[in-house]
Amino acid sequence: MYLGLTLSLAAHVALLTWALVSFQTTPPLKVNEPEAVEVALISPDDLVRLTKGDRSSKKLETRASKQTEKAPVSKKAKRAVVKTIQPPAASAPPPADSPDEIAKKLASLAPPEPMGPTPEELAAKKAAEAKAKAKAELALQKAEEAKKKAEAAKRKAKAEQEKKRRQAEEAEKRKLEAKRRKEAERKKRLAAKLKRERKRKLAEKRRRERERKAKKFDTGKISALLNKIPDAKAPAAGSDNPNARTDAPRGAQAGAPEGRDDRLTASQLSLLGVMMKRKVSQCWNINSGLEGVDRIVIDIELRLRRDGRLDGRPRVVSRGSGPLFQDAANNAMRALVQCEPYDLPEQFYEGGWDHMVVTFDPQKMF
Amino acid sequence: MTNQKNRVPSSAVAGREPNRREAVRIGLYGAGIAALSGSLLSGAGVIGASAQTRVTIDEANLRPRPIAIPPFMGEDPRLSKAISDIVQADLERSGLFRPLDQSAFIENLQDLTTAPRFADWRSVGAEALVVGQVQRLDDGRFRAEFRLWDVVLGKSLTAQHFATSPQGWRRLGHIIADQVYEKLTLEKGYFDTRIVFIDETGPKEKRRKRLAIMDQDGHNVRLLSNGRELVLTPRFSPASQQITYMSYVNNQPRVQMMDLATGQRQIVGDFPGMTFAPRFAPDGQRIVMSLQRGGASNLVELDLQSRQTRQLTQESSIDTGPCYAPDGRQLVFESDREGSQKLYTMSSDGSAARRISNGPGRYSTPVWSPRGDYIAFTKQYAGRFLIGVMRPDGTGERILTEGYHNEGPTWAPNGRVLMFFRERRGAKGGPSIYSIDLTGYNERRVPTPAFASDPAWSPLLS
Repeated sequence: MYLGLTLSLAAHVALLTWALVSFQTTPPLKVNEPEAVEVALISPDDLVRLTKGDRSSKKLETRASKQTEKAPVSKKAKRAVVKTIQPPAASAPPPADSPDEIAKKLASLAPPEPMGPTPEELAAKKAAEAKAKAKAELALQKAEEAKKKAEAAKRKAKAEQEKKRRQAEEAEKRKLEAKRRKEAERKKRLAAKLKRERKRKLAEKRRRERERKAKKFDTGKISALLNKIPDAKAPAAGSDNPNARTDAPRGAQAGAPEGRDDRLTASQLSLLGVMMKRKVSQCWNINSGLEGVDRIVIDIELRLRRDGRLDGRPRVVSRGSGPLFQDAANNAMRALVQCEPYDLPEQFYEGGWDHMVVTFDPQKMF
Repeated sequence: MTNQKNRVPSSAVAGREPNRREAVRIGLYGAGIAALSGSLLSGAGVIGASAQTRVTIDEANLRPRPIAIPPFMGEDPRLSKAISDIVQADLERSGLFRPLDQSAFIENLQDLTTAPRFADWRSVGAEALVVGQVQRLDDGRFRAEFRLWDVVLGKSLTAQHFATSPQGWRRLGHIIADQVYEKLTLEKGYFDTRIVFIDETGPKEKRRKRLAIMDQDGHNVRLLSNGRELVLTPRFSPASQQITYMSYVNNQPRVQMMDLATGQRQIVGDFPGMTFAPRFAPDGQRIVMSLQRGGASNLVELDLQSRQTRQLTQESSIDTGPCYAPDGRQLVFESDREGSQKLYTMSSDGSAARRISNGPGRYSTPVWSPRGDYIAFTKQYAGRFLIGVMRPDGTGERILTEGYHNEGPTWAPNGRVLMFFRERRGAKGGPSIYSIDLTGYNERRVPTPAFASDPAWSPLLS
């Protein structure tokens, strides 16, 4: 009994010790860390800008990838195509060699007489033979005609079916096209809305930023300001093969009409600002001797046509009253009218000088 | 903005840190306000719904405003044209307008009631157009009417008519010029005004000095004294057609007064010593002047109604050249109480005198602008005479012109233009009257029949 207890104890102790040791030495479970992937979040209008078209490009845009081309035709359309194709295959067995059989039959129906021939008989036989031959030829001809007719009918049927099939296909296609267009329209509207929203926010942000930074402008930061958008031509960060071709179109393309983006870059806008300032300051005149005239800032919203002329009357956006304000507003308005027409770069029209707010601030002159 | 809004409810819970739920609610509240204000802003079109390009113009091309003044219409073309020529000359002389060459005009206007073809006037470079007509009324007076157009914005700015006696026909031109000036510069004009001055004739060592008056453009000169007695420092009353000046009576310098309408003269006050450098108070009811007694000269004021006098300074120095501020509460004067001639201001009861001129040189003849914003003065520095202006507290001193001898500035009633006299060197040299802009530009000589000095500008006649 003691032996049994001792053995049992020894065995247990040994087991526990082994377990303890083996657990401690077991390497900890390592979960493989996933490889870091850099993700860039882009908004719909960023995408639109990336795919912006260029008039000068001769390369046509690959309008849509294979997937998008295929996707709409799938399933339903395929089924419809199969359906319309199947009937002609089943109901039109090949006409094969039916005229030959008729000829054979006809031939077997008129075998030559095995009796000894008399001259009359021979003549008769010859005549009969000729008759039979003629008959056979006729039959052959008939068979030939029938064959032709059958073939024509078959062709006709086939053509009709083909036509029907094509029509059905086309209808389906049109339907899909309409649907796709609708979808695109909706997306476009959404994108435009988003874009507008973003622009408004951006304008507001820029204005605030400008106001804030007006006094501490750092020339060293210009490049940083200008280079906010990474170079589209550079390979994606983290890409294994920088030379690998991607599906994304490279460089400027003669793009789709919806791929237009009317936002100008900061440098383009500043160039436009310089050109406008040079022009309008020539036309702007103020009554400099008036007390307090330096404190009146006038904002005027104006729209220009492509020919550089004012599109409608500019609108004074600033609010104010009194003769000084009225005079300042008139002077600003006069400057804009007198400066007509505006000769500004055509490519900066949309989103640039088509619609502007011009601020007349005399403070710096005093 | 959002941050600030975020703080609003947290301050409402009186200093307690907001718990998590409150913080979330506050955040939503702030976001809501931000969204709401954003939509309000865009709705109000502060920047314009989709306007994205903002351009700031901070430089102007300051230039005289081009104005078209075609000859006025009327039965008497010579008279009508003469009046429109006066308008044109006045506006041109102000330096703020550039009348355009009449031969370039395209449209020949026939009456005042129809609107001009704005494009025609814009194409000749005009910004404004003055169209006028002169008629003779049944009672013999002349009547002029005019209309001022803004041809750039295509609107009528004003239309008025005036009538005067045949003798005062030139005034019609000046009055119209004043109206045009006021409408386009937002400041009162100064063309329908007169200048009293000292007309100087004869050789330098035996100059005959006579009191004279003329229109501000140099026309209609009229002598007011015969030249038998020396007349100096004439000054216009800011409120009436009266002048005060210093003249010798019984070889004693005395301040006198003259009513221009009646020609009546009188000696101002009965003082034991000699009186000089008189000037009217803004209300025209009092005259302030210098009274010399012994080696000292002090400022005294005389009430014209009650004949009461009041001593303003009691110093042993020479205080002279007093001039009231337009509100009548303060005076500026020159004094050598600290050694050399400097400018001082004090309140009208004679208290709180303080020096305002701080630069080197000697300052004299201070004149407070009718607008109240500047004090003009003569300054002698480095052997030259300068005409300058400074703020009433002595800051912002600016020299408008300088030369061998410049003196005696006087303000136009709108406080924008000054006249002074300048003396040329040499045996044949003599004084002439000049006008200059407050900016120091547009210096012009005022035509006078002979040498002229000591100009004093009248208030507006109308």
